[in-house]
Amino acid sequence: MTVVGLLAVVATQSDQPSPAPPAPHAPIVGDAFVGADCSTNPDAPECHFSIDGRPSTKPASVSKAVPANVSNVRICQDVPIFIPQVQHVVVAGGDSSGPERMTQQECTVNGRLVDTSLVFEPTDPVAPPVSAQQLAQHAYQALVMPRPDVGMSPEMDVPQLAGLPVWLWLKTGSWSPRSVTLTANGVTVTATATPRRVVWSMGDGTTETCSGPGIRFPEHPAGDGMTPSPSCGHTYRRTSATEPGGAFRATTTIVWRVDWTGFGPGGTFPDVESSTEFPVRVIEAAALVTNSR
Amino acid sequence: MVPSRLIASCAVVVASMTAGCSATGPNPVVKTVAPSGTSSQSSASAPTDQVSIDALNAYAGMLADTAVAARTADWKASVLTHHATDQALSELVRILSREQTQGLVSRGAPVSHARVVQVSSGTRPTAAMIEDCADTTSWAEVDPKTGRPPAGATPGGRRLIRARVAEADQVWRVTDLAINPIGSCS
Repeated sequence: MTVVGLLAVVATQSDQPSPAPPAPHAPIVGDAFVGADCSTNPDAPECHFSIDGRPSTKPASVSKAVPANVSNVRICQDVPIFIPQVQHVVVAGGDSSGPERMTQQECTVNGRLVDTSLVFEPTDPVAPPVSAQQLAQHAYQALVMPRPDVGMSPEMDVPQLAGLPVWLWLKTGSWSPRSVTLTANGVTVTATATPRRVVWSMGDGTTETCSGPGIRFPEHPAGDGMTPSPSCGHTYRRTSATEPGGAFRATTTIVWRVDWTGFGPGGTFPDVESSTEFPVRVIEAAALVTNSR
Repeated sequence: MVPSRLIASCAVVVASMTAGCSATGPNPVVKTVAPSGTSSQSSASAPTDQVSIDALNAYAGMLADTAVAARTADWKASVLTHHATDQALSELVRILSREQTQGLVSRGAPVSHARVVQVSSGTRPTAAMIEDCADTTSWAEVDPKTGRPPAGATPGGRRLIRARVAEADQVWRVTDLAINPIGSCS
């Protein structure tokens, strides 16, 4: 994808319905990190990530595997970088060089990263103004999807019982639309991601696909644990004793539909996914198995 | 100097590092000022030891690169890409862009007390989480014309920095950064 220098870009990202507050002017503090996102708003969702990284709308990097019998293969790729705040700053600062496209250039030799650099190129002054479609593409790439915040009953941190229905649901916040709005040259577009389904890969070879976030297990009196979830659930049929680490590796993936609107007919982008992985330990419970369906 | 065996934590000064380090060059010279006193992960296996070393080296390199680029508030400096990518790179570019816009530069360097708090699972871990109660007291923003902090500036302090470091194409780089306000750790 080509990054087009934008003459004036204002970006906001928000969890609907409340819009994100405008970026405040940085207070005068004595170190450079005062400009860090989480310095001014440590509770912002972008300040929280796990060892699995964060869900991203960017496509997975292209495999740079090299055939075994070939040596000294140098492969370079340009990774476009688009930082709305910085591009905005460039314009606001009156940079006489005008808007530039920024690219992270990376080269590998035999699959090993050997040099990386930032490359800035002036945009062609006679280039046509950014199209709504291109702007929407930027908004699409700027979307940050939340990781699924998973709820299970029985709870995730206790062993599940083979034969006992497990209720699966997403906690509040994981299942709400996200949007990014960009404005350039008087054109404003909004890309909105809407959750369409959640795929639960349970780790035992089965997959449960649910069209909604599922229903939280209600506080039942003891003895109601045999009732399956009416909307989203799974029943493990075997224990995880023989799995690596004694646990199934379950993965929850939300599939998002992304539409853009704001100029002309709008359109739809390819679906994006955000997922999280967690271990599930399943043990034998002979009595319960006997009573199960 | 970095101990050759496991370092699950280290305290470094990045001021002595040079601008010339690259993604493939030797690891930057990291001056250890004091043992951090944090307990090391004695139960860690050998691959995890190496992951901790690689991750801490990448993190220290990222801080050093940032300190170098901040001397001129050069947000276009390619050195930023040597130990940072993805969101972390964008964050550093933003930080320095803000500094340049305000007409400031940075002198000195932060003092890091980074430690690895988590290593990804598997026999060959490819990601680690780092927490650093970094001290920026000796990393002041100054007006390059006067060499002094701008009027009204307050001293730096301790900031909790959380970082994710991951290996890609056989090189460890910081992929995610959350730099919290001054006073967020002690």
